[in-house]
Amino acid sequence: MNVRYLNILTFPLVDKLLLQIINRTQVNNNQIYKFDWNKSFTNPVLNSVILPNYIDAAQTMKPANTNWFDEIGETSLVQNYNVAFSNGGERGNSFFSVGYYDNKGIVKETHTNKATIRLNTDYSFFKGILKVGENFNTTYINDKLIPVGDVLFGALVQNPIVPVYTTTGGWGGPAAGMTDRQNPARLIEDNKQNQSYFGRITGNAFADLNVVPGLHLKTTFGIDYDGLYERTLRKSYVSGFLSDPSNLTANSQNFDGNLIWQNTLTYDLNLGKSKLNFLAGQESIHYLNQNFYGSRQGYAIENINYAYLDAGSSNILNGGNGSAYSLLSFFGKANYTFDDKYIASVTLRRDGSSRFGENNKYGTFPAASLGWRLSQEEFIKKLLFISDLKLRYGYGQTGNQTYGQAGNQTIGNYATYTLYSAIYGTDPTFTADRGTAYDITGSGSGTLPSGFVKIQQGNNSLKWESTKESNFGLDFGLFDQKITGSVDYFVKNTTGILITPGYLAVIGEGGAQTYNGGSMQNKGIEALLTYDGKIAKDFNFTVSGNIATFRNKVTYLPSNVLTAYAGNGTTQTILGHSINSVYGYVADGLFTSQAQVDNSAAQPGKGLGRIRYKDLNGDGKIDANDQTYISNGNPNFTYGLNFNLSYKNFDLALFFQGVQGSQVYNMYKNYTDFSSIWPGTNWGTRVLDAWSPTNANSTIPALTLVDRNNEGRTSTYYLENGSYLKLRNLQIGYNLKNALRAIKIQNARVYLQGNNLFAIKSKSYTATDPENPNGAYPIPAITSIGLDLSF
Amino acid sequence: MKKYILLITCLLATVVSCKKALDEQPQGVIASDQLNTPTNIDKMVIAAYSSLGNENLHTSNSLWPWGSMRSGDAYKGGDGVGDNSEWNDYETFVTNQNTNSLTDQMWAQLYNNLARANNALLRIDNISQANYPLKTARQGEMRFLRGNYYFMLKILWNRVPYIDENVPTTSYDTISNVAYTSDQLWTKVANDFRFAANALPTTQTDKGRPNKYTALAYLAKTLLYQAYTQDNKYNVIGIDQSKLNQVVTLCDSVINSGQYALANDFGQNFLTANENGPESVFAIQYSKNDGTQFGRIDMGHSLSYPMNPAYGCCWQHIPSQDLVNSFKTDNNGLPMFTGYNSKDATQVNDFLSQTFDPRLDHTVAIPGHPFKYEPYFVYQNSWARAPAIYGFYSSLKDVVAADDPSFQKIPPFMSSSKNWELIRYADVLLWKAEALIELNRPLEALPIINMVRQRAANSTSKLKQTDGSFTSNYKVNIYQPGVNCTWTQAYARQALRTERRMEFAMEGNRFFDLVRWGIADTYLNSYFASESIKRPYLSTAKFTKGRDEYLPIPLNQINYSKGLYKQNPGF
Repeated sequence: MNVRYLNILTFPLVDKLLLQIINRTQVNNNQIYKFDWNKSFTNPVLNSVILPNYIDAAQTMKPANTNWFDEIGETSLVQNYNVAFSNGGERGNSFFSVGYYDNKGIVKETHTNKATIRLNTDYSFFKGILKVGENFNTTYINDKLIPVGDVLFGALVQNPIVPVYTTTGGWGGPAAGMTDRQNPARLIEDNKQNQSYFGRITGNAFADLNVVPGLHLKTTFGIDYDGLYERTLRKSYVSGFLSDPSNLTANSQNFDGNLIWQNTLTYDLNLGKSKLNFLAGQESIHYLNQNFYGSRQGYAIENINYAYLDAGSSNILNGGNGSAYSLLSFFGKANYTFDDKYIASVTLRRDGSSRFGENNKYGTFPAASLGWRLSQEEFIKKLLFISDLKLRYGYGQTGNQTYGQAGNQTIGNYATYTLYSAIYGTDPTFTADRGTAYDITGSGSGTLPSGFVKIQQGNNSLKWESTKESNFGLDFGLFDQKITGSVDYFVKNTTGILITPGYLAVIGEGGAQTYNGGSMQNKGIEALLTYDGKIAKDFNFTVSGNIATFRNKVTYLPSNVLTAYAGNGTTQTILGHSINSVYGYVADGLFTSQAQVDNSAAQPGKGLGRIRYKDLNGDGKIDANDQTYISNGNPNFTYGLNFNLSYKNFDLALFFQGVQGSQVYNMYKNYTDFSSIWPGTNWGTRVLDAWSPTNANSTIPALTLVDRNNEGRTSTYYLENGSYLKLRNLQIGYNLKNALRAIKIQNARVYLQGNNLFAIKSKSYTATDPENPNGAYPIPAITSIGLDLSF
Repeated sequence: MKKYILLITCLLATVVSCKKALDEQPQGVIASDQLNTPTNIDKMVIAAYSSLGNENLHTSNSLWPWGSMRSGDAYKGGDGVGDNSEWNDYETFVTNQNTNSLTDQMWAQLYNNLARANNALLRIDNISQANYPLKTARQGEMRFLRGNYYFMLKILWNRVPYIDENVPTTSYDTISNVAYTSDQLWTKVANDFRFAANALPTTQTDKGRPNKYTALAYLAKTLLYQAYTQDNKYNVIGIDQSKLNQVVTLCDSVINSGQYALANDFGQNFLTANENGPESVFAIQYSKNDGTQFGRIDMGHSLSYPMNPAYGCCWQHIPSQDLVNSFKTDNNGLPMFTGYNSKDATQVNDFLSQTFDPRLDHTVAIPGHPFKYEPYFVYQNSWARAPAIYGFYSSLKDVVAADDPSFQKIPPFMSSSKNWELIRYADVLLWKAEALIELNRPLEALPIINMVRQRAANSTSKLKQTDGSFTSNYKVNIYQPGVNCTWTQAYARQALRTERRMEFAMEGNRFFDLVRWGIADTYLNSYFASESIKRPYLSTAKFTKGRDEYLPIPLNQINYSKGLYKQNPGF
């Protein structure tokens, strides 16, 4: 994606403004590029681009050809070690493991190391009637705090002409006419001293009493707490036209976790062919988060060993807050099996959450399932090729009080309350200060009087979001289980979807209110087929494939959440569409002749080589009413293919995974297809193929410096085929146990593994990875060597 | 057996306490009904004031992106036409659409501010004077703030939803932007200022609070705008003489209060050291070293700083060549109403070989001229970011010198804790002059305009090079009917309108003046015709009469209102 500079004049341009600017740069003294061209506005031809001796007025940055991704990237090294010991007997069992994980990331200086210790023990008393034990887990994670998002974005948009370093050994950085984003190499270097320390203890103690045969009473008390400590030094810098003479040390501590108490009573009963199994239980969870931070400025030395809060001399700040919720559940379950032929189970849960309204804290969620093992019936047993056949039906309701479909939190801990907060001041760099302090006396500095502002509107009728699912399934095995598989059909109806929609601005700050809003339906089919082959005694293989597809649509949309989803609030609503739908304009190619421009619907900013949008309502003008649902946001189907092979001590495993028929919104097009939407950045090479009268077959809009046609609007221009097939995993192993039998090794397997080694994507997808169309952290290819030992 | 009893008791205990188990008291927050004590009501008042400074990069409460950039006084600037392209859409008008995200942001910001004022006001209304002796004064303050925000909404969008403290939040979504006519809205704004003027004390210890005269001044401004009656196409079809008479009376009350005066030097209005001086009628009080990381600084002007190492970003809000030329004075030391663009002043010598109003060097940073009155800190060509597009100038009134204690970096931006004047006394004087001229009493306006000009003429002492010589060749004279001019109503009107431009250039007023006078279309289209020769990016710019006088209602809000809000004409 690197272009040293754009040869923008090798073909005629349509944008007069661009030409006029280029012409003007002849006389300017600090525009970076100068152009040797024929000065013909009708048929411009570029002879060469003249680079200056220096790109900055201070004459410290020579034109470079920096490959920013090379500057920030490295081959990562991941190490993972695990040792486990276990011991068992009549009086108890113990398990002990130690693990160490070390990941030097693909961005330079990124580094995570993690150590885990697990200890599980249990003790039996009274001949096994009472079992007491514990599970104990500790985790330590140490992370380098490199601002990876900014680094990757900086590498994407920083111009290659910018050098990493100046001629005087300082940092290179953006020069006139360039985007105001940081030199990503500097971000890495200036942050590599910053680390976080995370510790987590997960443990529980349990007692299991076998009251009478088959009846167990178990109580478990668990603790799951973690702490995160960060100390960061922000150094002063000069980097191109960006600079900050101040430094800052920030220190923060976050403490959060759960206390969990679970009590269960289970009873197993065998009555000949009938097997019964009962469970009754109760669980309570209490979650708590508290945190605080401090920061100071004015450090005499910019060294992490010095950068403690005490050493700072100015701008002494601190802050902190907390939050909590609790859950209380009661549940019961009964399983019944008759002759391994008929299987039935019933579950009833009653879940309570502190997040809901006074009268709706509890939700009741029943479930039931039926199974019929046909292969146990005589009439099937006659069909010798069938080795297993089972029909299943399940119905269940579940409640949700946490996360939405997209994984975003849908309800705050205190959503039932109307709340105010004292917000002294917030960081106003990119978003407006939301603070409540004001220099009312006009003194210009010092502690200010401060007030309160509404932060949310409560909704005391909030209740559990609930999903009712019906599932029909068929499991089968053929030819003595050589072929096995399953098919499932499901219908899921979710009601009372928790959502906090945007709101009419006149309501003012704190207008956000959480609702139980609409309903949606998901239905789909999942199928799995496995073939288990044996070629010779030492030569086995299995092939397994799965395919899944689902359809989603919103089935109910009350007016209070109508505007929470894409649409126009009146005639176009998400009702009946997929909840993941994209709403926007339909791009109908480019204007390729003046006649087309003149005869099309009125469209502000239209012109030769510009995107033509469809006049969907046919009113002769392109405006917001010409939007529609341009993608349902879901793939047609997803699939996977597993292949395992073993030959004597060798084994081989392959796992392919794919997505088919998805339309993804490729945000990279802002950088690869337009010279106007993110000005001053390093554009992709696709712009070199932009439309012009002499490049008339191009589908890439003509070059322009200003997006008058608003081509950054949500439209089908950005939608691309997101289908892909990836080799997620390839593993080749060899077991040395025979060779090492002498030293009493049970198992000693060495293996070579590769993740994401190759991918097939649609040609029409113009960025690199359709799985990552939004510029998130790249999904790396990983190769690793492993050794599993057990004694 | 005992064991079972114990267990059952445990379980029962859990069941009994299950309601309590799910009781979570909100942490670190406060409920509405706890905020009705006198102390907390006073704090709610502070929170309402706080909103005056809660701007971001793009939503300056000075309104410069709407008032200066759309007026022919300022270009957008930045690293190209596409940098903050929403502003380019404002500046060139033709591509400005109802989806412009900054229009929506500003709308939301102003209603956020209003909600704070209404919230405080409702609490004040409901407490007794006995419990809260400041009741009336605080009501006045909050209604003043509310008037200020509705005034801003009014000049930006014309017709907006009007909501006061008596409207329950649940009814907000039933109030349309067209529920009131333009004139009714003006009356509502005026009523708030009228109430405030009656409720407020004549002086305030806290410099951030308005007093009686601040409210009277804003009332004068409101009535002046209301006096120009617009038809549906935004043509000015009449000027309400009785309102003009009120404007004169109100301005006189402010003038006769004796609390205000023009600063000795024009530049004092734009220096942190002279904050809250005699000319300040109402200002946003910014601060730093105030317990926040960067200070509660003027983010609305944070993009105005040039590209030299002492600053570094982002060079927006750039004075136009037309503005620079307009500061030329003729042989009599009077402004040139026409013809000032015949030759562009750009080079150092151009500013010495012709005569200029000194306000030029208080307003515009020019290559070779000291920046912010510092002779050793000279503005250079290289401080400009995209001179091929926008020329070389930079804005001065809204920035501070890099060594000024109020300067604050907030990477990649920078700004300062310098106050921003929403009403300067000079404005009050010129409102009165304008009203008098439109009342056909131009002779009474003459001394007022001359007072402002005389101050300008006296404001040269800060404008010197290292050798003590003046940076430009300054020559400003007062209007002397019969000597250097013929002071007719028409001439006086031109003089007043030119004087307002010189005095308030880059302060966020100009576009609204043009719309008030009903000349925005002719003025701006002729500006585009002449300026686009020098700045080709303006060649596609066009002001559409009957549409571009006001912003479109944000599509977002129309959608959130489920179609209740009606779009402004032409969008």
